[in-house]
This record gives sequence, C-alpha cells and structure tokens, in this order.
Amino acid sequence: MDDDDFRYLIGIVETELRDVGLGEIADTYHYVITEPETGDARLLEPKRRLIEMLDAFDNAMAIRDLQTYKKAMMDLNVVTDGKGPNDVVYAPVPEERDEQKISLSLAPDLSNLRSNLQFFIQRFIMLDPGPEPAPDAGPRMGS
Amino acid sequence: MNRSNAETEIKNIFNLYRSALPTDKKLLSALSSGKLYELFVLSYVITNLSNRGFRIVFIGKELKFKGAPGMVKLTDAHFQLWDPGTNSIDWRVFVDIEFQTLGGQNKSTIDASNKHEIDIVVTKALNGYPDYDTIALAVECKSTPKFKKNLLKEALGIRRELCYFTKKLRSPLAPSGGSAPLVNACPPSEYWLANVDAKIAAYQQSPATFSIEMLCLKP
Repeated sequence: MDDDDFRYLIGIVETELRDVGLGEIADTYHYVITEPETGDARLLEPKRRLIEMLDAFDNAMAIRDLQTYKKAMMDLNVVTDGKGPNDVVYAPVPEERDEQKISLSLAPDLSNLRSNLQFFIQRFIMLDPGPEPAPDAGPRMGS
Repeated sequence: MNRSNAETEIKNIFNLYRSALPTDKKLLSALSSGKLYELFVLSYVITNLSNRGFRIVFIGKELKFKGAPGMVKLTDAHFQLWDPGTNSIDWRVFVDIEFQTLGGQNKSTIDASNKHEIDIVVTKALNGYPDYDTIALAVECKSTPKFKKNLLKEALGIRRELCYFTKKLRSPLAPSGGSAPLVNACPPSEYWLANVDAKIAAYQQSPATFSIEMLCLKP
C-alpha cells in the first residue's frame, strides 16, 4: 500500500471515529510534528498517522473496557488488608447520588475487540512500504 | 493486506465497537467521563503505597466516584494508610476532592479561585476541603486518548497552588523506616499526572523540575 492508500484509510477511520463520538481523536492537531532543525510544522506521514489514530482508538476502548474494571478491582483487593471495595459506582448528579449511581461493572467487555485491533495495527506496522515511485510515474494503485 | 480488505477490517472493528457500546446513557456518561480510568489509576496508586510499606485498609462497601468534586468526609468510602511500625493511621486516600489553594490562603477574601479539584488525594485532613499543606500526594487522571500539551499546562497550575518551589525535601509519604522520594516542593507533596497515551513520555523533563511525575498508565 502507498501513501494514497493510507490517506484513504485515514479518511475512513476519521469518519468512523466521528460517528462513534470519538471525533477528537481524528483532530489533525494531534498528528502535527515540528522539525527540530527548522521549526517548521508538518503532518506525520500517512502510514504513521493511521497507526497513531488506531492506537488512540485502542486507548479509548481501554478506558471503557470491563477488563480494566476487573484488573483494577483485583489489584485493589490484593493489596487491601481485609475487604476491598465490593463495587465501584459513578454518581453523576450530586443532589441525587443514590438514585443516579451506576456500577462501573456494567462496562462492556471489549477485550476481544482490542486484541483484534492491536493485531490489525501490528500488521500495518510490519507492512513493507514498498519502493518509492519514480518521479515520472503516475499514482500507484492499491496493491 | 490491501486497501480494500483493510477498509473492510476497519469497518468491521468499528461496527463491533458500536454494537458493544451500552445503551444506558448514565453508563455511557460514566465511561466517557473517564471514571473507569480513574479507578484504574487508583489501583496503581494504592499498589504503590502498599509497596512503600503502608498497610492498606478500605473503609466502606462500595467506592463512589462523583460527577462533581467535594469535601473530605469520613463517611465516604476511602482507604486508610496505616504505619505498621506505630500501628497508627498516617494518611487517608479519597477521590474527587477539592483542596484549598496556597494562593487563596494568602488572601483575606475568598472567591471561586480558592479551590481546585484533584481526582485522587492522599491527605491528613479528616473533613472539609483539605488545605494544600495537608496533602501528601495529588493525582490527576486524564483519560483523553491523545495526550495534549494543555493537560501539562493545567497540571503546572495545580502544582503552583500546592507548594512553593524549593530543592529536595523528603516526601512524608512513607511509613516509619520506609523510603519516600525527594521532591522539589515545600510543603513536600508529590504530584502525578496520568494519561493513557504513550506520548506523555515526551513531556517529562521540564515538569520534573517541579516534581510533577508524568505517568503513562494504559490498561
């Protein structure tokens, strides 16, 4: 795959991220780097930008995953002398905490999905970018 | 892998994510506001304090994260840090607390600027809004999937309101006979900023001068 393919896929990922309420990850601001010698800003190359965007999506899943709840609860109970918390709840409205609280144990199990995504990212990382097109060559089609 | 099957895989992953998301708006709000991440960081903090030698005791049944920060209340669920040498409670760990700022305590008139929120706080305070000089450790949990420099700027502001800058005082956060880090802060509080993005590692050096520890903690 070449840069045009990666740019195309970035467009797909950006659309999907916005659709699931994670449009912030698609913000170009995150993928701008400054050249240390010139101070000039530029966008990351497309393949790396795509990988970082997908990795950020994995971050977003990590903080919504039931496995994160289970791991934290296990660690808390291991180091606590006596009983640790039996549940962790969120109370969004101060005046009505008890009525509004919800258990974080109801988080979705995203572990398989995260594994699939991480494997997918690894395949991109391992992907051979292939030879650069000759200066007079036309645009390369997806391989 | 080519463009076509990569596109198919991307769409599959997002479709599966979409179908896995809860429909309950309260749960979605809790997850989007980073409360699960706060719990994850809390488990790291408590494990760290246990490794320093404290005996950890949990008070309460269920731990509650609040949508809005508040005061220290001993009736709220929290953790006690016992010194095994003296068999006394040295510190307590609370979540979602507002503390009284250093700057505010230097003024005779109080306004909305004299309190700031801390996600996880280790304090000697037993009730009310803890004063800045009763805090041994303050931890900010930032769940944004991409680290942004404004998070560091915000942390620098909170650090300013917790202490004066000085050279190498020993943190009080260790039981008798234990070891705690040296900090460039008076009073010698520790201050951590946790984020899920590995990019935070590129922002460590300058804040380290002010004993702000930038932690990449990814579940």
